[in-house]
This record gives sequence, C-alpha cells and structure tokens, in this order.
Amino acid sequence: MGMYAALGISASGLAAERLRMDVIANNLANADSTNGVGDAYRRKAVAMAESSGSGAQFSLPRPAGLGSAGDSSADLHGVAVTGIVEDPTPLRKVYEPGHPDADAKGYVTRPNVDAVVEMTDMVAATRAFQANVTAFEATKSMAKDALRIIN
Amino acid sequence: MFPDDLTTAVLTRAMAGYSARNTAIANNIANADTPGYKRVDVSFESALAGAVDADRQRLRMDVGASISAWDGSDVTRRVDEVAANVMSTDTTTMRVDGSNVDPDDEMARLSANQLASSTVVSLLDKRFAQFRTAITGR
Amino acid sequence: MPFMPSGPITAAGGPGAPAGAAKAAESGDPGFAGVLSSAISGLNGQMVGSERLAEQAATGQLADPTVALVAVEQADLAFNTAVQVRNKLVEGWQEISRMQV
Repeated sequence: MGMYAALGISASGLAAERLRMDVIANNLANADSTNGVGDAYRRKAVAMAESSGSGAQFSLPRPAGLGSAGDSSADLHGVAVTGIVEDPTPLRKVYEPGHPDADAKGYVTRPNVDAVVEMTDMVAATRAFQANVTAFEATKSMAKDALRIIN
Repeated sequence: MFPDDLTTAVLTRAMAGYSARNTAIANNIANADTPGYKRVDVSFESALAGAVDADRQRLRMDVGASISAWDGSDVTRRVDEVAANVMSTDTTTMRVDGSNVDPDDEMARLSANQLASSTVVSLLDKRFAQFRTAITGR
Repeated sequence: MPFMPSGPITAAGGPGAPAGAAKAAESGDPGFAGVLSSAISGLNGQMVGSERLAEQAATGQLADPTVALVAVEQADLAFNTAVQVRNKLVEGWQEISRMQV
C-alpha cells in the first residue's frame, strides 16, 4: 500500500480533530445563549468511529498490484466523524428574575457548557491534531528516503 | 530480474513491512479519540527471518542454483511471500471509553519505525551502488 | 622483480612464473600473488558477512543496527579498493603488453 494509505489516514485524523475544534469553539461562543423561556443552547460533541473506507472523505488512490501482495494494511482507513451529537446532561437553571427569558419563578435556563471542560477538550484536540501532523511528516519522510535509492 | 538476489529481496520486503507498520501507526494516531478502538500493529520480522533461513537452506542444497534461481522454476522464493500482517490488540483497555491507544507510545513507535526504515533504505542504496561499481569497474 | 604478468594470476604464481617467485615460494614468502589472492578471499568473506548483517538488521535481529551499517561500509571500502587495484593491474598489464620488444 505504500505511502498513499498512510497519508489518507492521517488526513482523516486531521479533519476529525479540526471539526472537533470547530465544535468546541461553537460551544464556547454559545456558552450563554438562551433559546426562549425554558430552553438554551445544548453543548455539542463530535462522535468519531473508525472509518470503514466507504464514503471516506480522503480517499487518495490506493493502487493494488505489485508490492501489495497479502498486505493487509490496505484495510485501514483512519477515522470518520459519524455525527455531531448533543450532550444529554441537563441544562442549568440560574436565578435571574430580570432576564427576558426568565420563567414564572425567575429562573433562566442556561446552556450546559462548562468552560473548563471545553478548554481541556481544546488542548486534547490540539495535541491529537499535532500527533496526526507528525504521522503525516513521518510518512513523507519515509517516501523521500525511498526516493534516494534511485538518486 | 537482475540483481534480484536474496539479500536485496530481504531488504525490499523489510521496506514494505516498515511502510505497512507506518500505515498502522497512522491509523492508531487518527483513531486516538475513537471510543472502543483497539490499536493495530504489523508483524513481519520473524516471518521474514524464517523465510530467509529457509531460502538460504534451499540455495545451499541446490548445487546448480544461480543467484536468481527463481526465474523459470516453479519454486517460489519464500522471502517474496512474506506479507505484513495487521494484528489488532483487543485484549487491553487503557481508558474509560474502551480505547487502548496511548498517543505517546504511538509517537515513539513512529520514530523507531522511521529509523529502522531509513537504515534499511541506506543498506539497499549502498548495495545498488556496489553493483554499479562492479558493473562499471569504477 | 618478483612479479611478471605473463598469464592469469593464480595462487601458485601462474605458468611461466619467473625464478624469483619460485624462490620466494620456497622460502615460505607468499609473494605478491599470494598476498593478492588472500586479500580477495578475505574480501569475499567480508562482503558475505556484511550481507548477513544487513539481512539481520532488516529482520530486526540486531540490537544495534549501526553494527550492520559499519560492516557494510567496511566491506564496500574493501571492495572498492580491490576494484581499484584490479584497474591498476589491468592498466599496468596493458602498458607492458604495448611495449615494443
């Protein structure tokens, strides 16, 4: 399978982590968004699963033939985002009687977004993104090494 | 195909094995946050070592064998049949979400694999240069 | 002159070897031909050994792959030396064979 499979796999990881960062940014931006009386923005998260290859976003050409005999690393396809799901933890209720979205008792429903959790998640996503970049560079470096044979 | 002697074949198969391992590690890194994902790895070294021994034995026993005795005969060279097998390690669990990927471990394996690959490429490079010297006499 | 190229260089000094070489062989001195042949067989052993080490490095049987790299480089240098020696010998032979006698 050579280099193409590994590049596509790392690219899928980069895309997944970037989407995760986008969702985190969205959570932070909407940390105070209410949605009428009794409702508010719900924290979103990214659901990831190992990609099976079908409908893969980054399907670089994977030539079969010489050199791929019995090489089962062809079955690896990286990661795929299966969807953006809402966090089911209950929304917070904060006592703010003057707020336009306060209910009869004066409570405003606020999003279930915790800034600390989002920051931690952001660090994790950044680390994972960098790890995928390193893997990408490693693949490139191995390919360049192999080119030396005919140079 | 010249020069397709046993040592060159071993080095070439090893390169393919390292490339497959690189793909497996890339998959682990991409799925580092996938719940329930188990890391994969590639095994080929012991199979390759066994194949080299078997082929060398056969070369020794077949007195008429030349360097590339494999063309035209129906004896396949074991070394050429060594495939890099992807194995999943589904016995260990690292985290609450069921994944057993340790990103730091994967990075270390990535580097080690790269180094091993570079070594073999250098050896192959030198080998071809030697053939060239022998052919051109310079 | 202990060495006169008059045929293929063999361990025994070759056909038509001059008296000097014969006398040298008698006294136990291998002579230039002997030195060359032992150097060549040593080279083959060295190259085969470095080949085995390279295979072991590829199959992960070496704890330190630099052993293989050093051995391969040494064998390569020895090989190149032998090639250069051969070239010089061929050159010398051609020059002598061009001499008007």
